[in-house]
Amino acid sequence: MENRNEMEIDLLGLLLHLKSKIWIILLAAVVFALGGFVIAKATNSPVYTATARLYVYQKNVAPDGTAEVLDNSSLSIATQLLRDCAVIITGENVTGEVVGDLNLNMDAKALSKAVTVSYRENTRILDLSYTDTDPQRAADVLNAVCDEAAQQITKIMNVDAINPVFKASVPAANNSVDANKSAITAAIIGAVLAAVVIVVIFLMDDTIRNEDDVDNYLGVSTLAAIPVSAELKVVRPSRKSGKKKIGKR
Amino acid sequence: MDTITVTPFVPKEPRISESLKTLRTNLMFSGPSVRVIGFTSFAPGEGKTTISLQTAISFAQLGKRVLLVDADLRKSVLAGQLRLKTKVEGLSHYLSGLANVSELIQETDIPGLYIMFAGVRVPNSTELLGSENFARLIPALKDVFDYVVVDTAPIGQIIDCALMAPHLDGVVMVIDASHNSYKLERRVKNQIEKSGGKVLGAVLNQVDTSHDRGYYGKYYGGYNYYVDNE
Repeated sequence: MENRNEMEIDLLGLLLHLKSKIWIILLAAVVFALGGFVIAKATNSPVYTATARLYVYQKNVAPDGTAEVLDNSSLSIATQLLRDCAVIITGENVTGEVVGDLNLNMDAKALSKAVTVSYRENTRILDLSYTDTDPQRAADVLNAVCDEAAQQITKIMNVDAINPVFKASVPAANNSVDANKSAITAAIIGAVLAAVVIVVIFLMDDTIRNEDDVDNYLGVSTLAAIPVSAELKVVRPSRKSGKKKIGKR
Repeated sequence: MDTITVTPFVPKEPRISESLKTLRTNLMFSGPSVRVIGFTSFAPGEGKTTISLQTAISFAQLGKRVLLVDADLRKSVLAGQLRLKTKVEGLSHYLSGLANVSELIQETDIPGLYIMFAGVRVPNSTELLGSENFARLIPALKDVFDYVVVDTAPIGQIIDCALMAPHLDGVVMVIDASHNSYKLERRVKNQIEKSGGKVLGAVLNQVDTSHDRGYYGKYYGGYNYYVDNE
């Protein structure tokens, strides 16, 4: 007789049952795959970051007019120079011009915040970057900023040259979501979920299904097992089933 | 009284008739003294009436004199299943003292098979079936018939079967496969035994054998060979 604390799991029966319900699992996988694909495409909002690099050249001229001296102090002056350039590049004089020239949908302040400038100590290199939702616009805006900044810096700071090491080119997307991969992941999740549900329902089935159940649970002999048949399907009284049917009918 | 037409309801499908023969054989193996057999189930619609009818037919086909008694006095479906055109008097009339037993036993078109219907539906079936009249009835029927098959109300809902059980030689539990929790069926068995009845065994009805192929695969195909050659 069945012990309350243990449960006999009919593994072969379980696997066969899973096999018989394979279409549910496949259906779930397909539905989830479609869902995953659609959701991935819908929530996909890639951004594009354009980058540019500028070289700032200022001849180091001694007060007496002799040519450039490269020493520690001149390097530190270079760093200071870069800091000043950074301020001007992100200053509203520059960004204001760019906003106006390109007719951008943001104000100078916003653009100032959006452009980042970085430099490495003891070099004369500036790295600029700007992120936008449109790749072409990202490149165009950054290049405009570079040009405008170059003009203003040369004018204000009396640098000799500020040349691009590379200009901004149209960038690729930063973080786009691969819809196909999402679909596959979703399909696997769907299939596993369906399988788990099927297994749980199977294990929870405590109905009398076959002779073994009659023997195990009831301890009486099975006199006969009458198969499902159209011939014996006679008109029955209407079933008032308040109990939910688990298992095959 | 007209003969009741039963022959159209005898199944022809070999698998079904074989399983019914198995049932008949196993019942006979319960012993020569087991001649009054009741059929019950937990819930309505599990196949008690159908199977008790088929069991009675099966015994008659062996040449026995069989009486099928429809003792589901509250919600009898036998008359409906056999497509009776008119209402017939039956067990409830006898138990209420309104008729004699001999008037209520109907011949059928199967030799040896007789039927006593439930009669008019009564609300106080429990009292009637627990009465002296019923207790006296069974031994009297045993004198006349080789087998008495008694179709009862579902014991999960109505206690009638438990009252009849001590007067019967045994009770068969009809179980609609994969339908009821084993806990409910256990209650059926316990109730019958508690009332002084004897459970002869269980009949699984509506068994879906399709998934057994996985277990018995190669064994199953050979079965048809024997059946076709009969």
